[in-house]
Amino acid sequence: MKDLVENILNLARLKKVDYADVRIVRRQKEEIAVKNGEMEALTWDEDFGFGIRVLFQGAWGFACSSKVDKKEREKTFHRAWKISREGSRIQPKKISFPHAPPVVARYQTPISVNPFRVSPETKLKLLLEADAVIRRNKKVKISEAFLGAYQTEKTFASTEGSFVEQGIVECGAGISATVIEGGEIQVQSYPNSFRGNFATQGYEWVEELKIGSHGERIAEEAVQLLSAKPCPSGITTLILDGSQLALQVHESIGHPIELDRILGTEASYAGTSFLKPKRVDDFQFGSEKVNIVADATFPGGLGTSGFDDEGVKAQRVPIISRGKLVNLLTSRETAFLLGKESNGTMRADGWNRLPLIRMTNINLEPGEWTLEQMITGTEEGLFLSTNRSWSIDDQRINFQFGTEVGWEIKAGKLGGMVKNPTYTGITPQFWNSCDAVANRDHWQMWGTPNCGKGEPGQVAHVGHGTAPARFRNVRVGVK
Amino acid sequence: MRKVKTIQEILSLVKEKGFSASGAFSHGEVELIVVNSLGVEAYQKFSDLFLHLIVQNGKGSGYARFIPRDLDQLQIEPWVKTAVTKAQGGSPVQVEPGEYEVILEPEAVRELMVFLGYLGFHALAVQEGRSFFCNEFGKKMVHEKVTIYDDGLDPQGLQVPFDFEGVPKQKVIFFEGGVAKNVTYDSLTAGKEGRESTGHGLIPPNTEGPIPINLFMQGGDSHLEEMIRSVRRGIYVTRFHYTNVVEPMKTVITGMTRDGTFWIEEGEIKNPVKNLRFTESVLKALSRVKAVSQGRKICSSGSVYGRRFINGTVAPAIQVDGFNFSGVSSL
Repeated sequence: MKDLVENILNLARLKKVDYADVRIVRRQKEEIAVKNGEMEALTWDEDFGFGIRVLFQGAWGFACSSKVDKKEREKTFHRAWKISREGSRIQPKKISFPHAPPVVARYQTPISVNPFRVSPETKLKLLLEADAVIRRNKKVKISEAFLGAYQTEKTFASTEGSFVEQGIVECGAGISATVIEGGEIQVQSYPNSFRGNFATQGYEWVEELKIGSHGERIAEEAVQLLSAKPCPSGITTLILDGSQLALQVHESIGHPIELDRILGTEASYAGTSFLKPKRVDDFQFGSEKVNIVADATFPGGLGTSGFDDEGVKAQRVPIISRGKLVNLLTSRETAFLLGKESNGTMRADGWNRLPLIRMTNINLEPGEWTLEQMITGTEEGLFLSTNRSWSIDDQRINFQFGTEVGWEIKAGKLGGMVKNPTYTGITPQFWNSCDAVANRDHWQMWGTPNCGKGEPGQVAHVGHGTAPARFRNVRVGVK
Repeated sequence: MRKVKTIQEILSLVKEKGFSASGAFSHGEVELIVVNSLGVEAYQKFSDLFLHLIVQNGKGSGYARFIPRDLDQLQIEPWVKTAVTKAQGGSPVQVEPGEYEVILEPEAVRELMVFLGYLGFHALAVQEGRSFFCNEFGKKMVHEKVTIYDDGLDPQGLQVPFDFEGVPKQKVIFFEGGVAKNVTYDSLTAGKEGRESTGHGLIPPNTEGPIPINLFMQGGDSHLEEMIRSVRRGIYVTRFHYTNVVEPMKTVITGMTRDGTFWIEEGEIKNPVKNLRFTESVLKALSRVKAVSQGRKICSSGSVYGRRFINGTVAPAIQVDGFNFSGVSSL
């Protein structure tokens, strides 16, 4: 790899570029989906290639290739350089890219069991058995089980002399039960919706999930939902479980704090942000109960790595402290505009994409309450669990979520189930209405493997550690 | 570097008008090859081109998209003017949530059609009992002005001659004059019913079903200007954003307006409004259609989650008598 990258970087030095980096990435993926007792899909995928970023006279260029012979490397470099040269001729504002000391390092996800050494037969057996448990309930129309394993080996090198090698392993699994009756569809999932919960861990994580032990419960709960009361409409107190809160954090905190989005680079796709750089240290994003950190070092977090794709070391950064916005997610280029250093959040989806600012693990820090205390302290409200639907506007202000299930809370006690729960709100008002966050006993890490951003589109795997939390005066049962 | 020159011209025009611009310009060459053990050998090479533009000035925003494969067809100045006109008009006012008469431009109509395609226009959804079409074939479900079909060979769309199983594309009519007619099949779903595939297999392993990707809504006999003139109090929507399903069998979806939302009063577009959240059943909305424009536009996102393949929707503008807005984007 060193010869390969040095060849490219030497070409860059000859052209007297401001900066260049190259990433060589090999990715392997294995996904197995089971539905109604049959294997629906088994995918084994591998891709390999390299991408070159060039900054020349203040403009970026990028090119990539899946062929790594010498001729192709030179051709690809020249393509990237030509794009940056053409860009420099029309770009009104030159990009400033601060120098950083070289980093030479290696990182490997610590794992016990390599998921790629577990046979597909073993994995399929696990899924079929879990699926069979769900289907014992004859009212279930669709039973599903899913398992995914992912491995990324990447080499990063730059004209500054950095050389970083990383091996990232991810794993996850999940099950769901769908019932359909009377023109209605109800779903219950475990451990999370949208295929499960994912982590930077080995196959030991899948075993820990024990998906086979939850099939009976989710099937029964899905059936119960058919006869549950519809979610009432009105303004009430809301307690969100950790899995739903993970997506709430993702959409209404994680995305608006991305500095490239704030500066407009996502404007033509997912939008911008209601936040501005001047709001750092000057904006009460949430109540004093709300503390958010961006932590790329958290063991097992889906957004955990050793370094980002600019060679910046993974770090833990406070974002919201006692409700006040104190930081944003930054890159080397964007942090420089604020007079700061990057906090290491640039990641690309493979070798054929430019790195973008991406969430790492955006965590709501645990509070001091137990879930039981939160419920007991709620005169009237709803407890909602497991996301089913999500939507937010292009500045991350107005959101609406739906969950798979809810329960009424009356006089401090958990009551009957409600179906099709939805709630809506305005981001800072919502987070300022948070008056309780559950403690570490209720805190866990959730992995979101499908975060979309950028043009051309990229998918990032990100993490969110959360504990249940309570919010007051929330509009529910949206009509 | 023709692309760079085109972008340069676009940016200059936008800047002259006092706006900032963002967008994406992508062109590509796609080779689709399907070979299988049943003797299928199918090959097609096609080009694609997607250009879209958002102009903003801190108060308003406007949108324009260009899809045709031939860049020579792009008339840059009028195209930029489309987006700039939407962004002008000053600071948006707040309209309270509620039910309003709406004019939906083709991009917004596309969103409704795509969700119907995903939720119920295909055989897997019917076979699993989760399509709104279940037990409804032959019944009138939406207004008679609504005819929706899928046709991969229609030259007004992004033509694709065969599907990802190498099966030739067939035209499939979903709603004809408001009546529920047919759904799309791939070889797996067709096999379960002893039928032939309609050529709607997606990239394997496809667990989502034979979702249609070349949707058309038939044009009507109205002109957009007369549709606007007929609205006493209503909202004009350019496009929707971040739309998602709330109740699948009732086709209730929620999303936001974006990049050009206006108040209409006494037949005139008066002023821009703050973006609104809608929560509405697509089938209910299509049951309340008052008018369908003659003119149609091709709309496409170009790629989905980074995967590039031809998917295009040809949609008219429609006028709907009653569309529910459930919230406002306002701090």
